[in-house]
Amino acid sequence: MRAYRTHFISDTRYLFLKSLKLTWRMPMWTFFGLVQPLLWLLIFGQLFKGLSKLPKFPTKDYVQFLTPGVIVMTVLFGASWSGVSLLRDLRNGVMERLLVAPIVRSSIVLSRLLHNGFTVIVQVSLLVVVAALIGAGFPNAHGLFFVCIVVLLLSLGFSAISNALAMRLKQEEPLVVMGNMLTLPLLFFSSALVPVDFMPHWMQLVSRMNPVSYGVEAVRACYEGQLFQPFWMSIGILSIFSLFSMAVAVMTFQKVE
Amino acid sequence: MIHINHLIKEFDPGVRALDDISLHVEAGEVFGFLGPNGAGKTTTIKILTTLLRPTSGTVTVAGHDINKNPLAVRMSFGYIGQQIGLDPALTVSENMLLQGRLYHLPEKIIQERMETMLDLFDMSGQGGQWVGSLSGGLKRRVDIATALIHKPKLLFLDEPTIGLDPKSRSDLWAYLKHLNKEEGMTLFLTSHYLDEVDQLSTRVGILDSGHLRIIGTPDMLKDSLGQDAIHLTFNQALQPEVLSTIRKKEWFKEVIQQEEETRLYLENGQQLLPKVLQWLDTLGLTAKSVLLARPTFDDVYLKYTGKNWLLSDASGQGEWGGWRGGGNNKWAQKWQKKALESPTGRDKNLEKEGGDTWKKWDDQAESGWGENQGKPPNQKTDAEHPWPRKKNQGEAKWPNDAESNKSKRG
Repeated sequence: MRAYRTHFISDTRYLFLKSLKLTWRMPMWTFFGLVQPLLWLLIFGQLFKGLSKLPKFPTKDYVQFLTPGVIVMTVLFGASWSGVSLLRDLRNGVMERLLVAPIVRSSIVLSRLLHNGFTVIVQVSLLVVVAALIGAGFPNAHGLFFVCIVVLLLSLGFSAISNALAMRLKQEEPLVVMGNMLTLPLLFFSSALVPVDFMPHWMQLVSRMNPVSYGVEAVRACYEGQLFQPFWMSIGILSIFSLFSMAVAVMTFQKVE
Repeated sequence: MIHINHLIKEFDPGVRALDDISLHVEAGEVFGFLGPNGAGKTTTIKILTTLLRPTSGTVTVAGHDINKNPLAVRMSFGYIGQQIGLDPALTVSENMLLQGRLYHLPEKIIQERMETMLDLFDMSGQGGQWVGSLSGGLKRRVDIATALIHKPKLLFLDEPTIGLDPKSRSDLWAYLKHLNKEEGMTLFLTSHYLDEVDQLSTRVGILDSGHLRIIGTPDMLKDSLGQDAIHLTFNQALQPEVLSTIRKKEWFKEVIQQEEETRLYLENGQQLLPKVLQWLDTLGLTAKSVLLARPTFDDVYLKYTGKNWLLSDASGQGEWGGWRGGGNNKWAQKWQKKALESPTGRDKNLEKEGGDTWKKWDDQAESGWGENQGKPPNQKTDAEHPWPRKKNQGEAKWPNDAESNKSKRG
């Protein structure tokens, strides 16, 4: 058993590199994943431009406020596709091959989550550039690094959920439906689109339990260069959330029949 | 090599997908598992390959208990699933390289093995091809070459020739025979093609709704029916008392009735045929048609499961089968149920309304299916397989099965 455990890291690396190779060969998918966030940023941003004129609105320009929200949205969309690509592997027999190979199952899960994290970081980097061009500003080097950390934590957590769901549901249609059903409410119940102070009281309460809120707040803090206690709080909560989801995903894979 | 003792698998409590299976396969054998879809073949193979856990019973593969030491078991075999397990977006050699790495082989050995395997499967120099661009037969070959990269002594094949054209099928058989004879590899394969198991296997097990009906060599199973078979068709199915009279006659080793057709199995059928007909005449029976044939696996199957091969092999092999359907996955099953319910529901409506457009459509499909022409659709099979039946019957009529069996008889 020990002999196999030492292969955990190399197995994860081989599988991660394989997924990366596939993404590299079909880069279009990475860009397609950006289409929807860009629409939100450009069109939704214009539509609600006037919002920033309201009293007590935290930023001068709505795009400045919206950008961290759209970054987190990109992570959610990307993560929900991770499960769909798992189903593709299940359907064409690739996953079955892996499950009968002498590798620890957690390396299959981890390689998938890391791959998703990597793809999303690439997407977010592009998004940050586009947002800067339309006046959202640019975080400093420190901030940029921590944006990547927040994005990675969120993507590990949510793609773990998506993979676990995919493994349970085993069908595309319900998975896509559930993905859509979850992502939008998660965004509405966070400060992605409007400040929390603007929400009715009960929504504020819900948003306190929503990991997406902490993600948005953390990214916003990076943009503002305010890496103080609330920021570290958010990072802590996100770490717990992603570790918990990853544990669930690994357990689902181990139990899979 | 494989020892299965009192294996039971229940997906839902009380519903046994496999019911007390005991089976031993020695090194160097080719063991063929035969049965219709849903018989439990894939479940058995998934248990042997550690993809499923048995409910009870002990299973050892290559000397390791599948529950206690799954990783050692996985190291010991190669596995060919129903689907091609290769990534279509990678090249042949990239797939093989990854496989070798996951079996923890040194790079140098992987390179050597890749060349030997591609050579063995007559694909040398094609390592750079995209898997997605290969034909089904070639994909299957690469699939097997990849599965063998770690030189296992045992290879599991779950319906390896499904979806292949006749030429690719017979090619594949030749490779599998070679692996067994020249490389001494133990093969454990499932199939729902009778001729495939007949061709390849040294021993055959017939599985029917979770029960292992019989194990034996292909010849032994065929001999149990005698040398010849007389197929008689009558205007209507024979009465039970008439049948029992026929059964009592000393000539016949076995008598099987399938609706209007009655099959008599006997030695020395050529000489006995005139007498048999005369004797039937004295019973007041006049056959509509008579055919003297050699028993095939079709007959063996009929004897041990009581089901006609072509008709029984009609359950859904389509998109809802395989991985997704397998497993004790209640969510998936729920969705599956819904998907299957809607066509059934339509059939019910159709009965109520007594023939609308769907009915017409149904009739057309029915008349397209040669054997049922002019006959009322079989009510029982209709109820059992409301929707995918026609399409799958078409599949079962694939020339290599039905036609070749017929030509053997004739």
